[in-house]
Amino acid sequence: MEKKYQHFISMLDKENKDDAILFIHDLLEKDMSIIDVYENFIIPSLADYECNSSKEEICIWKEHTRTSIIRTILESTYPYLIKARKQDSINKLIVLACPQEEYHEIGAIVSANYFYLMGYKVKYIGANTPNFEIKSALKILQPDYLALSITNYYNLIQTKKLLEEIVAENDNVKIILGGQAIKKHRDDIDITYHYILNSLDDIKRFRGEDK
Amino acid sequence: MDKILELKELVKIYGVNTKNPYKALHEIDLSIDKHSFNAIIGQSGSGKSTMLNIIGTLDKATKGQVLFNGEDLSKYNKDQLADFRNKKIGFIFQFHYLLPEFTALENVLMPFNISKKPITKDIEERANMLLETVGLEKYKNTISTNLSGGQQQRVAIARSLINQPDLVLADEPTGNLDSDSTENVYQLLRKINKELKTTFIIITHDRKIAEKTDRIIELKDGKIYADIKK
Repeated sequence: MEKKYQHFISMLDKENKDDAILFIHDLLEKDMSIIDVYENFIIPSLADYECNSSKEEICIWKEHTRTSIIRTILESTYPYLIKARKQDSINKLIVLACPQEEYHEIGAIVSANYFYLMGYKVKYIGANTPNFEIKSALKILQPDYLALSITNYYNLIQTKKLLEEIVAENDNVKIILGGQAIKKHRDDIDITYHYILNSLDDIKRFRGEDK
Repeated sequence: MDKILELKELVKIYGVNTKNPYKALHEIDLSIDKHSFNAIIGQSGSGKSTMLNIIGTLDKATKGQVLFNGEDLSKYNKDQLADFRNKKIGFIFQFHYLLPEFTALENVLMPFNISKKPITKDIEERANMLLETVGLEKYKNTISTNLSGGQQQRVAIARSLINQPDLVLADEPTGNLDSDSTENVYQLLRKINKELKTTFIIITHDRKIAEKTDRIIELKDGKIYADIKK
């Protein structure tokens, strides 16, 4: 597996989009599970990314290029998720979003796909979702859970206010938080939540306890 | 990490002896690491500028302590405070307050002119070096009113550094600037922080500045509402 992963990373390092996408599809056609592809290729390729340039502006567009390749892989492999989805679905709805000004959405998309695999009904409403649109989705869809993914630490402050308002206005919705900013700063800010889920294991455990 | 600044149970009440005193700061406890780059955010009236003015010794706390490198500033008399302010702290404001009839170089040297200290060759070299740092060496002899808003703010930044302060307090330094100039000013402040190890506390409404700092402190109703280190 490690050798294959390094091969995949070398294609990403060279920004060789076509080969990277075909490589992942080849793995899936040769019976690797979609979860193994997510866990062993897609997630580490972003989590372990280190920029070789000392210049911040170069690192930013290089990271965006890699993200764009990963996004295409996620979208093009979606049929494998449909096939792998658990039959015993759970009649609960999760609305997922990235809050206002949060543009890093790959983590949210991966989480949405994991919740989908676990049998939940999932609505991903997008990156950089304005507060009033999140509130509108809650009002109209009446989900069981609102899941927010936060990467940029500045957005914790905005999200803290939003969640205080949401919890005051909605008795029933439970709040799920995840993302790099939550992983790193959950103890630094008094933010409202019911669950923090940051990995497939977290989501499996959550599903196991959610009857 | 060593602390440059510690606020201990800092309280500010306006109109203490009036019928309607207003408590602008509520028992604030806060410490700032040396060489760090910090943002203070919050809505108007949250106490940001009050806190910055007390840290800069432009105003006095009603209760509590301000320790600078471990020294209690409340023990300083008026002259000692003025000396401390001049040597240890640099100020940058939303409006640059450059003197219009003077050149960029003369404005940078203004803190020396005001203190009536002789401008030595070393000090003039430092002023030139600072103008070079802020990218204005070609404009050093230009009258300040002939500079753009962004250039004038860069002169103000150079002026704030002429006394080699340990701490720079910036109150909305990009409040009057367009987005390109804002990015330039941010890059400049960050460069000074890295190269000269100057500690920065920046009050800002601009998320593009705040999200790039190492620590965001949010004030709300005179209290610390959030405090996050990157």
